[in-house]
Amino acid sequence: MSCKAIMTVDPPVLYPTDTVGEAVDRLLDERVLALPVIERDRRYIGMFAKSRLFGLLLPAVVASESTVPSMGTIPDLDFLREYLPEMQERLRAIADHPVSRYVDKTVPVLHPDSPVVAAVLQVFRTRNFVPVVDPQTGRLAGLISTWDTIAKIRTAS
Amino acid sequence: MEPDAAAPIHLLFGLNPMWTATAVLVATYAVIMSEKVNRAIVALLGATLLILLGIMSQEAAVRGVDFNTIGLLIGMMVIVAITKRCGVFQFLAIWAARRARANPAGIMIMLQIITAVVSAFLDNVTTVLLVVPVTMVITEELGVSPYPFLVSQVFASNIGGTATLIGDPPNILIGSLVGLTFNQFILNLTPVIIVIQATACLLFHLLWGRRLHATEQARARIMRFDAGAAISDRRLLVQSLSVIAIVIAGFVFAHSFGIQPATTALFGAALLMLLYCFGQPAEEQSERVQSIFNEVEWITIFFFVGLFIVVGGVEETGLLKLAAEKLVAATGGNLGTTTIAILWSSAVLSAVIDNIPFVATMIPLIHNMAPSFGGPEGLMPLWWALSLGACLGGNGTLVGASANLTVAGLAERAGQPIRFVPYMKIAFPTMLATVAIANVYLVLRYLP
Repeated sequence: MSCKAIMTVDPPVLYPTDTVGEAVDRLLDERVLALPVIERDRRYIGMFAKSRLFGLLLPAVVASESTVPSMGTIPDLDFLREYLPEMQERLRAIADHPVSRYVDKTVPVLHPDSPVVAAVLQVFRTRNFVPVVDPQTGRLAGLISTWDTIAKIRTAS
Repeated sequence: MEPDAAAPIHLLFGLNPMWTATAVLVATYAVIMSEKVNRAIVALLGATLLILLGIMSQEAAVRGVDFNTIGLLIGMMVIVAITKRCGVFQFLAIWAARRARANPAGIMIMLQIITAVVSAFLDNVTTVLLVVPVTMVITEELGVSPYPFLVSQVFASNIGGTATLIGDPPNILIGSLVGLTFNQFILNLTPVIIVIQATACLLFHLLWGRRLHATEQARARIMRFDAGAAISDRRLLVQSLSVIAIVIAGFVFAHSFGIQPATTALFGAALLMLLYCFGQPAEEQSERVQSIFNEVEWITIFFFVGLFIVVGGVEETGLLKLAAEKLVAATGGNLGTTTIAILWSSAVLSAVIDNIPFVATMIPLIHNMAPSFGGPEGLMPLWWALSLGACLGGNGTLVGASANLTVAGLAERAGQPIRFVPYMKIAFPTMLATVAIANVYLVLRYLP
């Protein structure tokens, strides 16, 4: 069984000119944790994911921990007890920015013919959503979610 | 019949031992400086090459490794790895910020003092890894550039580390290989370090601090920080601080009972691990101990092991004795001139090369000067000059000390890069000023 069999063919998407505010609305409406960002001709650019969004709400040095995890980290942020207004301010400040500024282009992509185990591996490696891209055209072919994968594995004959 | 394991094997190809060892030492230094190959790999390669070439036997190599240095480093690394989990260092930084009423200039001074004091008792890299991230949160919330704070903390970590036997690897090396005690470092270096740190605070205040301003709104944000909430594990906090107090007391008092710092540090590490794991199931204990050992900087440890062997091999050939005689001859056998020459050459060289191999090489070299200066007691000003020069010199450039590169890495990660040349423009003259103070101190106290 290949990824083609388990992917969602017409997933919700974002365009580079969509604003962060619109992207957040879409994440909330669709109840998803990441959305693919594509050109108007459906060429895949990258993912706009909750990890990047949440990172923008935190102090920069904390948000960048994931990029160099071995470097100094702050055990927790409990000392920022009354940080809600700051986070709201941060969210407001980026609401009009185009999502193209925050696209994660490092997310590994799969091809429609990639085996399902490749999707399982990516989901295992904490990716909740894995983009499937046509290797010839570079266009988004579909999206594999955690739910797609586990449901198909359970029911496939 | 068993071969005599202690005897060196025959030198390959009939090479001259002194020049072969010199070639290995120079090549090791050159590759370490190039930073093309990890320094632990280079040191171990150099060490094993000396054995393979017959410069020294394996037994002589093992004897050359100073367990006191290795044990002290590992013991302190384990203690820090556990202590930092309770959030005490974040607490200190936030407490300092609030204590300064969120005034940026005041915070800058307070954070320098905290960094210097913590660095005197912990490894410099560890100190900046603990203090810098929370500094960057504070500066971001204040809406001021983190640059002055980070550069001044680099200085504070290297200056503070000079104050004690355990503050900086060069001091650990000097203390262990020369047999100087924790108290001797405190009595001879801490007074001048207090003056140097105060001067650095003043210079950085005049340069940057007095121009730093934050809005009332930003300062109010800092004042809302809850320092107490930064302590994530109060039980661990009490345990860690108690063990650190025991270890420091051990450094101060145990030497008179013949107990070396390594034993004290490793006892403290074992005791703290016991307290941290006490009452946990066996599996959890294994996981905790594994995660603690993962935080030991094995690169540094193996670098030291390799370096001890390389320098030991060179020492065996008599090269360093020859170099010592030449250096004494160059300074006319005058203790004052030799002291000042060691201070300044150590400072300038440590600004551009790794000060650990430099100090490791200088120690036997200075040892060999004893006959010229009336025995080991006559060498004391030279040891303090070496320590002050090597530790303070590390501030001169971005590559002068590991803590500098660590801060630069953290700053880069958070989008606030510290570049080599702009840093050096400020740091090198400031470093020279701190060494000048050390120079005056050495002259007044030891070279009347």
